[in-house]
Amino acid sequence: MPELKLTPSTFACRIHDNREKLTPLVRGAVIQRTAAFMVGGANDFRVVVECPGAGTKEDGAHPLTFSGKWSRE
Amino acid sequence: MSDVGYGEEPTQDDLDWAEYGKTFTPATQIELLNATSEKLVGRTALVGIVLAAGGLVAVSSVLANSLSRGWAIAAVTMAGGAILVALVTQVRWPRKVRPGDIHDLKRWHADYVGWRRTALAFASFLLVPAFLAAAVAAGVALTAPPAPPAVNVTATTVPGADGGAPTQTLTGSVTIPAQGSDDVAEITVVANGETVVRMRQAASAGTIAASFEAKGVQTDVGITVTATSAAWKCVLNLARPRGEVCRALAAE
Repeated sequence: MPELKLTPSTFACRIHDNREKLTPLVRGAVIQRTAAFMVGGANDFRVVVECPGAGTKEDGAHPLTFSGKWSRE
Repeated sequence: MSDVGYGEEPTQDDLDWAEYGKTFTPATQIELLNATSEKLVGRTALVGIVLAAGGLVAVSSVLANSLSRGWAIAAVTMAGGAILVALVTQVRWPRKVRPGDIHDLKRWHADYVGWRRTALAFASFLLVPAFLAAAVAAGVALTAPPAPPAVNVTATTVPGADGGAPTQTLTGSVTIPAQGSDDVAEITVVANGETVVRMRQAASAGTIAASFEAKGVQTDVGITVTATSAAWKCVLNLARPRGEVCRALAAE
């Protein structure tokens, strides 16, 4: 299966420096469970993933919405 | 332009759709395909109901008219094709799968879902023209004028036994549009002044259709077939077979 290219390629939280964790989470959310249904249609996406936060009780995980476009390379 | 996408606070709408998206698991994909396949087989039975216009049209009436017969054949062919495709998707090939290996499981899943999804989509689309063709067939049968009445007789000469005089066998048929479900036609065949056939035929599916046979009829005699229903009177004289045989009684 061709590699899925996301635009933008990196995803980040404005509060937490979690882009290394968020980028694969967004990528996974776009690919996960949708591969069988991704035939034609619009190539834009909008997913909800959990930003892990700072990992503390006061500043924990919170949901974020990310938007972009996908294409097959 | 920055190549970084920053997350936004999700709306309630985002959260609701994300929750719904979690129901699209690999297992539900297969359940969806199986349910679609079963529904398809069930829905094709509705084509028959449309063909009969919900019971208003007898199948014989649909088949009697060449135009409605053509549409009916198209409808049944397409519905049959949809059933066939749906049945083929229910066939399962024995393929080994190692459920503990996610890669192998994904390959098995892709094999299972891949062509079935396309085939079922095709079958689903096929049902739409099938329904339309059935509706057209029923509509044509409902609006088409009834077939005109007809009387046909064939006389076959049979050699006489032991050098006797030859006789003839009369075979014939009468078809008259029925005035109603309780319409009855009185049919008589008279040869040389003698009644050789007398019968009553009731209407069925909008038509009175009867066939008769008379053996041992003397040759070279005048033969007259008379069929009378509530709305039609047909008189066929074998010696003078020209002209209009059947007349509408109301027009007389």
